Amino acid sequence: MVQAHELAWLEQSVGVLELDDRAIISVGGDDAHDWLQGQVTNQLKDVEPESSVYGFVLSLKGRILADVYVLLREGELWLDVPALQVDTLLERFDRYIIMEDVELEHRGELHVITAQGPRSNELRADGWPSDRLGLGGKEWVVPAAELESELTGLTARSRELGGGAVGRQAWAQAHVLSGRPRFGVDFGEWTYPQETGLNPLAVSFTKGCYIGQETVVMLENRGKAPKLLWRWAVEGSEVPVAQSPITLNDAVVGEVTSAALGPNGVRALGFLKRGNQSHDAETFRIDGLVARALGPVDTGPAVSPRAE
Amino acid sequence: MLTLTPRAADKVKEIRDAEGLVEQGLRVRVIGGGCAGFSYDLFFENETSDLDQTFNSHGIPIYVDMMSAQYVEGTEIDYVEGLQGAGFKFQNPQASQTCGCGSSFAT
Repeated sequence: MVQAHELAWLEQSVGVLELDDRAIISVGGDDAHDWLQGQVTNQLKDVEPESSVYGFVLSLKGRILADVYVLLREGELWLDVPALQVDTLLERFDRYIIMEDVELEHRGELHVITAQGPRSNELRADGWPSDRLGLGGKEWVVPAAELESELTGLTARSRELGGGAVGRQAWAQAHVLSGRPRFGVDFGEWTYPQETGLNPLAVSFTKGCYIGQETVVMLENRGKAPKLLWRWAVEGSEVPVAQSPITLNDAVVGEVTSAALGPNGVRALGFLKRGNQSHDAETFRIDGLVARALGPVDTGPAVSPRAE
Repeated sequence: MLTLTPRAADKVKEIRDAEGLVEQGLRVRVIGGGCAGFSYDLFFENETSDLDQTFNSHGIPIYVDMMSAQYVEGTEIDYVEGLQGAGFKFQNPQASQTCGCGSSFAT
C-alpha cells in the first residue's frame, strides 16, 4: 500500500519520524577528532562545529561495516550509526585505540529524530544537517524522556508547513523512489563503497589514510567494482521482492535489493554485475517483468540532485 | 628491542640538530588509523615515564610506550631515498600486512 500523502510530504514539504534503526555512539577525549579522521571515509578536518559529515566505516579489506553521520558538537563527537552494528563498531573501534585519549560509549538512552524534505530547514533552527533523500534534511538527538514531546512538537510544526509524521513503510519506499540505498537493505558488509553509488557523498579521495582506504583507492583508479547499484523502473504494479534476479537475454546479471510502488509505477534498486552497464538501452527483466535501467545510483536524484 | 639502521640514525641526528633538539630522544608510537589499521608516529621528546621502554641505537635514545611496544617489538627503522620520495621505513616482524606507502600496518 503506497502511503501517497507521506511520500508527498517528503518530496514537497517535510516529513518527520524517529529513526529507531539508528543508534548513537559518543566519541570523547582530547584525541577524538584526529583519531576518528583515521577511521571514516570522509573528511573531518576543518569541519564546523554543529555540522555533520556522512561517511562509511570500513573493514581492513574495504567493505562497509556501517554508514555513519558524524555529528560535531562542542567537546565531543556523536556517531549516528545503524543500531544493529553498534557492537561490531565498538569492537572494531576499540581495536584501534592504542595510547590515544579516546573514549567510546554506546548512548542507548539517546534517540534520533529526522525531518526530510525541502522545508525541513524551516522546522527549527537547531539540529544537524542530515540529507537522506536528496531534498534536504535535518536530525536531532534526544534523550528517551523527551522523545515523545520532541516528536509531537516537530510533527505539529511540520503540519504547519504542509507536512506531517511519516511511517516506516513510507520511509522505506521513499528511499527506493528517490534512489537512495539504505545500509542493511541495499548495501552492507558485502559491498565496497563504490558499489553503492554513494561515494560522492561519503568518500573523500583527498583526505589521506583511513582504514580500508587502499582498496577504495584501487577500485577508484582501476574502475573495476565487481557490481554497481542501479535504479530500475519495472513494468506493471507487482513489486518484486529482494533478491529477485535481474536478467538480460535470459542470463542473470544482477539482483534486486529493494523495491516499491510509487506514483509513477514500480521502482527498484538492484545490483548490476560489472560488464553489463553498456547494455542499459536493452531490455532487462526482473522476475520476468520488463525492467528499464534508469542509471546508477550516483547519477540519481538522491546523490546528484540536479541530474534529473 | 627497537633499532635504527646507521642510515636512519644519521638522518635522525641531522633532523634533530637542524631543529635544535640535541638533547632529545626519538619517540616511536603506534596510533590507530591508516589504510591498514595502525600507523607509526615519530617525534622528538625529552620526557619519559615509568611506562616507557627505552633503547639506544647508534647513539639515539628511543622511547616507546608500553602499549605501542607490543606492536613494534623487533622493528628496525631504516631511511630510504628514491625517485618517489624519501622517508623512514619500518621493518616490523609483527606486521602481517602493510599499506603501499609503508606507513601503516596490520597485525
